[in-house]
Amino acid sequence: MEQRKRHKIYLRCTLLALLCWFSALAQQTVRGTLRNTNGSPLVGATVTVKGTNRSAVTDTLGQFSIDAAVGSTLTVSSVGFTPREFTVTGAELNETLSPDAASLNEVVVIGYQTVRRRDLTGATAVINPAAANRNVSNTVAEAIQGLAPGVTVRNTGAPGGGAKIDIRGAGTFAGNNPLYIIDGMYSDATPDFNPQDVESIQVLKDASAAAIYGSRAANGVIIITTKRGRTGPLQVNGSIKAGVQSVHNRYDMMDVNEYRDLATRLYQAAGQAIPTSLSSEFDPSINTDWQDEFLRTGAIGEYNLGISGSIAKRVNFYVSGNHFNNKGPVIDNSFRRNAFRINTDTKIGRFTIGQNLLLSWTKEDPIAAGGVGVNPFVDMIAMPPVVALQGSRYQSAENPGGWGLGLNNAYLSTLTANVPALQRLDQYEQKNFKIRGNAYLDFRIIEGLTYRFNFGLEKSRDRGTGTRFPGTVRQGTPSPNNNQLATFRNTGDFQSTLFENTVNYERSFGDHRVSAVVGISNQYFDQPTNSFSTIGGQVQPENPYTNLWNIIGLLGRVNYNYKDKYLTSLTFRRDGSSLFSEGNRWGNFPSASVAWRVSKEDFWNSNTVSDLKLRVSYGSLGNSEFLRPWRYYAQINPFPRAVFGPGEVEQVGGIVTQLANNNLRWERKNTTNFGADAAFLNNRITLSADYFIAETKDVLVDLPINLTTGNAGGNPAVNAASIRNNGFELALGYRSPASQNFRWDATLNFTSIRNKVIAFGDATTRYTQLGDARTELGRSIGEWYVLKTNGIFQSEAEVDAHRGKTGDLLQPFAKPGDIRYVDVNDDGKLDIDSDRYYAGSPWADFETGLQLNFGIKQFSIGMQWYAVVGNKLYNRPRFSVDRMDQNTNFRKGATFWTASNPSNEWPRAAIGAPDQGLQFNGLPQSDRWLESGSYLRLRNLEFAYTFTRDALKRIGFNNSRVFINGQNLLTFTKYSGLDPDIVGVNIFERGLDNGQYPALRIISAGVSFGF
Amino acid sequence: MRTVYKFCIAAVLAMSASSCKKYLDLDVENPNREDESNFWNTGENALEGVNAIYGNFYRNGPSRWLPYYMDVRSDDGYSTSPWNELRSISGLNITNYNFEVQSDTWGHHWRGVYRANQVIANVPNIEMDAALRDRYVGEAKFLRAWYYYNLVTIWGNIPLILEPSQPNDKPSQVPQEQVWAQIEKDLTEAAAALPPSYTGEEIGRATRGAAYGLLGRAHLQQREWQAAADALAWLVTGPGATQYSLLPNYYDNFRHTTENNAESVFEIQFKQRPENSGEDAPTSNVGTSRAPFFAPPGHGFNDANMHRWVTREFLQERTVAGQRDPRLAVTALYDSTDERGPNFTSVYGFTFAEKNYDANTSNRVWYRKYLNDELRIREFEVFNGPKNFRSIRYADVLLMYAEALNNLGQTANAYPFVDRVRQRAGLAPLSAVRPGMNQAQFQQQLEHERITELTGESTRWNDLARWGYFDDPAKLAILQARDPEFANFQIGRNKYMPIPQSEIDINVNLTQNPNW
Repeated sequence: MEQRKRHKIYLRCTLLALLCWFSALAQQTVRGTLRNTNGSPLVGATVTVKGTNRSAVTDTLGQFSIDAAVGSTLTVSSVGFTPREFTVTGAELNETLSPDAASLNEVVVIGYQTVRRRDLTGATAVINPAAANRNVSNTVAEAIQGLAPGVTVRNTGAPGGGAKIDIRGAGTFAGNNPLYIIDGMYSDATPDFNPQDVESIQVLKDASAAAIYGSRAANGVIIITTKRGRTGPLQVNGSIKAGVQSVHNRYDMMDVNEYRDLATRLYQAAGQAIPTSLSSEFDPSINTDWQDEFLRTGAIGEYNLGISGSIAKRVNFYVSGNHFNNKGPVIDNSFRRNAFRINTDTKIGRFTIGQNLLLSWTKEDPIAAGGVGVNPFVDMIAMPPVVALQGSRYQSAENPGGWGLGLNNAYLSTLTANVPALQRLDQYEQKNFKIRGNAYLDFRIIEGLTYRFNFGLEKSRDRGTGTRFPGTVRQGTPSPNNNQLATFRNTGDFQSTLFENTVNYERSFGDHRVSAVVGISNQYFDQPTNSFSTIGGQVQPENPYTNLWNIIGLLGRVNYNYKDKYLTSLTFRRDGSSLFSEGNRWGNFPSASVAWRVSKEDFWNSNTVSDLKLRVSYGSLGNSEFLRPWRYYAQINPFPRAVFGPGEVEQVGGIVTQLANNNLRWERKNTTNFGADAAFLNNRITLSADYFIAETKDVLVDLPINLTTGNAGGNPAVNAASIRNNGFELALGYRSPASQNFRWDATLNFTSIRNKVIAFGDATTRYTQLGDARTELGRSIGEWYVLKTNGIFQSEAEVDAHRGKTGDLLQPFAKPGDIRYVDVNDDGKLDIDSDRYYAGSPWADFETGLQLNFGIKQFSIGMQWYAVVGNKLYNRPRFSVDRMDQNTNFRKGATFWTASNPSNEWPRAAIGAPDQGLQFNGLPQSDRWLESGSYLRLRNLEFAYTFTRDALKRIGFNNSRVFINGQNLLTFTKYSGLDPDIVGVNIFERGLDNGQYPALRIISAGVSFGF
Repeated sequence: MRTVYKFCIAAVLAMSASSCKKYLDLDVENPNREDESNFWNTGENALEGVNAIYGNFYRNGPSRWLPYYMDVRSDDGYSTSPWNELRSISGLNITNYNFEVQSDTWGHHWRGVYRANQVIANVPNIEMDAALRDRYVGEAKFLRAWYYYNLVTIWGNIPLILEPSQPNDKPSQVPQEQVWAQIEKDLTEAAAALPPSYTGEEIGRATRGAAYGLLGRAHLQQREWQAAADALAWLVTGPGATQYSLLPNYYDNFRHTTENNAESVFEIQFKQRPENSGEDAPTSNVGTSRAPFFAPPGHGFNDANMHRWVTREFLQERTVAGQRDPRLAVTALYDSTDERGPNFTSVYGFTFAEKNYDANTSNRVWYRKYLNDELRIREFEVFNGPKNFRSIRYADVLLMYAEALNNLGQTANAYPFVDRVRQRAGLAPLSAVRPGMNQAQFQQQLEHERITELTGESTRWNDLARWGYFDDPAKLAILQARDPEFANFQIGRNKYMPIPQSEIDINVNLTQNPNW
């Protein structure tokens, strides 16, 4: 058996070697470099020996090598360039291709159609997948941070965790995720996707660009096209990447002696007995660094192999495999992905059939967050160092493992959880298997008229299994499940099927060019979930639930182009959704756009400005992504129970527990966009600028409703408000002139967006408040609304002088050392609600990204810089340790005000004192906890070396590159938390750092190769 | 190869055709749940609705936190909880009005109201057995009144919601009299509709006696003495007099094995199942999580303590047999729960001495009623405790009746009802030891009697309110002497808790309670 296996491997190797050998077998080898007219290397151009099957593709430096006899003809082609033929005269060939039709002719997928990039009338960003792929990322969204204007990406570093992406700001209160179209299949930002498979990424930002997706596209659309096979010889590309990953920043917390000193004084200040853990029972051998116990150095490893080619010149295929392994930087936290892809296209006469298929397996071991009052990234800094990770002292029936935690007031009391213990006691693993793909059939009816049937399928199986071992991890919180071993199993299946019938038309008549598409798109969703659990071996009731919903769309678009000078596009989509009640199901979503290529006018004659196009668009898009099925009526909860009788019989109850709004309707976003695209100096400098006004009406959200309604189980969805977003976006590119030795290019993008709530659903609501953020009419969503501090009272006289206009003491309970609060509304008394003010916005004034690439001979350096400026963050972890009215560890250097040791930074504090002044010093609703969230970050730095052909020839490789890459290497910020890239808890508390899994530093090295 | 393609093409065309049928299919039936529009149709639905109101008793608001407002906040309790916000409820200095205990207690009461409102609005329209239908509506009215009684006494100025809620409801507060009037109306109607008692699997539902008991309590709280006496008379001298009696053993009122007994007028039914959390999910707690918060270190979180002065009230007189008042050991867990001291006092199966508490802890007293200390030997407390909470006890009814009579000037007539309570505890009748008291003296005596009989049963705060301790500086000084936390008590402010700020933030029609 073993023998035979080896035999097979040997055979395969031989075949592979033969393949390489065949391609090398020729009269001579022609080498060369292909360039664009502006001097940049032409990547991915195909070089074919005319009349043969032999062809080659240029690498990232535009270089190729091919075997061709002197006198034979080489055909060179590349998308968007005029093909040329050259006769082979020697062993070297360096040539230039010019973009066809006098300008860039890059094709952009805009949904059901492709258009030339230069013909775009809407706001569309095209992202360079090569730049995106430099980042080690779970999702495509994470990879494109800082690469496109108007696209805001916020990361969490959690392995397997998705990034949050806003296209053109927050157009809605919830569900702001864009629509993903992957090879024509509707999808979402899933970590199952192999970023290396990406051929192109387009972002549709305004209504006219996205309108063809109607109600699905209000948050923008990210269109991802994966790689496809090409006619020509077999190509194999692979890469291996490995690296380390870590939380790049730590809170600087006290060691046990510093903590002991401060905590002792804090208990003394309250007149409390000193816990014996700090006095008679102090154990100097315990000095736990909880961050060290919780965090570790993680690792990533990624392996890719892609093969593309064609069979019998008819079937083009692309096959790839990907393995991604991420050992997270937190103990017992990991993510793994295996993905396999097959894409094929086959032409048979008038028919083209094609198929894209992704199979992916992911396995995630997330951070255990289960349990009352547990917040891992807060607890890891708040747990006092005097607590041992584990010890016999802590052992009890409820804590059989003896994990360190607060015990009682006498010895040690703390409400902080032992999160390293929880990571061990709460074992959970989420596995997912997914099939996603589509198959299409194109039928060319007549020249220019094509019918397409597209069938898409996404089927995924989620299986979560967990075990919660008995044991509490926090004082005051019992061991869950009655201190018995519990097992959990969750199953979730998701199936979505898509049926689309479209007809495309494209013709030119002299100066007129027309293209159009009409179609119908149906999508069905079926999502059954269930959960199974046992507690102490006793089987618990299951909890099955199935979500079902359908969406129907009728779509059409006409593009018209006159002499490339006047361009227009009209789009219409009518969508119906089962998520709404019968009268509210259908919505119409039209849009229109026009563009004028000024540079084509006769009066235009500028050599500096080689291209200038002005664009205007207006359109309406719908949104229902936020809704789950059947939320437009109240359901009967069948689970309430009432116990009666001597036998304690559980009688069945049934009643509405969660309220519903019956009149839910489409959320609608109307966008007006003004844009300009320009190119200077023969396209060496490109500029694209957009200004937009987007108004979202009837925003769907779970707005908090009054508890007096008796609502339970989550707030009901409601069409609550209108939001306006105004924004300005700019993209500026420069590419240096051709030079063999030194080349560079730069891309700068800039985004500035303001949002404003312009109406609430009902006349009486003026604001909604969540935590310390208020969303008020006429202001931005979730601005910080807190008490205003003004220093610290340094003396009795200052307390006495702090009076309002009525002459009364504003803080009669205050003592020297207490925080002075401002009577904001100047009514003569201090009120912790009405004396709040707007202390800052979680929204950045602007954000900007800069990509710089330098090349010197075979070396290249790539840099991505990213900056966010002007936002305010709430540092909840700091609040947890600086409040000092509970027993936690403290930040190094922390102290508290005393008469002998006054301070302007640290107020009076004490642990466990019933003193109103102290209560006020630790108030959460104060500007004391707000910090600037501005930062500048070197998001990515890469050094690469591309081997020369000659070097590679001997090993039979076509191209190869080695690189070393650092992600999030440098961050310049005043924010004192772990990382200023904050996802936020929800849109209303967007700037709340609630102990977020921080974005990570990753240092990796790898090699890519092709043959 | 070609055949394969042909087959593929045929297949996609077939799929395309089959999908046509579904084109306009946007009516997707919910396979999981019934909805409001087709629910309230049968007697079974009506019963499910009523059961669901009782099911709300298992939420933390009514089952865990209520004693913090009614007992610990009062002068007989205090808190040394390390949980600052929880401590501030007892400390009368709450600054975080949105604190989860606040919003849970407030919100869970309104959930009870909402459920009752659904039954009261829908069940009368169901075609079913008329007697049963009236009973169901009667139960719903009793339960609605039970929730409103707590809401109006804890928060004072509240909205009055009597119809099933809509999501955008922004109710205004109403004068307190209006809430009280509704409580009285609901209970009067409930008393008429409810049976005096149940059998078998229905035991534990609201009875006529429960309705009269709560109605009497509501009138008494408003100092409507005659109306209180009239309502309570049904239980004391009327038809209920034969149904209810005091149990010979006081402790049986607080044990799992003697639930729904002759002294129990209304009892919240708990049961211990494996689940100790969850809200109206397939696996939700139907027990109470009160005990762990009240239990001493090692068995609970010690988030609440009883003041030691309470124990001294019991020592003022001994039983006719010369023993210590047996109620003390049931009421207080401390170093002398057993009169012989720490070596004989049992703390969850340990002796008090064995617990080896530090000086700071060993002088503490814990509320013992509703601890599971006799069931959790050497164990930690449970979050799904099985002990029914006796919301209205016949002893309380007798004392309330006596209070009403005394205030009506019928002091002499009030004696026998207090004596029944005293004699069950083994004490000599008042008529023998303190005959001929005047009205004020009798009131004074009643205050003592209610402490010894009812401490830890969530009546104390409202007793103090009714007796004027929260409005009169001289009386407040008495509380301040007993409980230093009352130093934070401001007349005109602390009688009521602040309404959760989040409620006011989203409802312009609500105003915060005065001086908060």
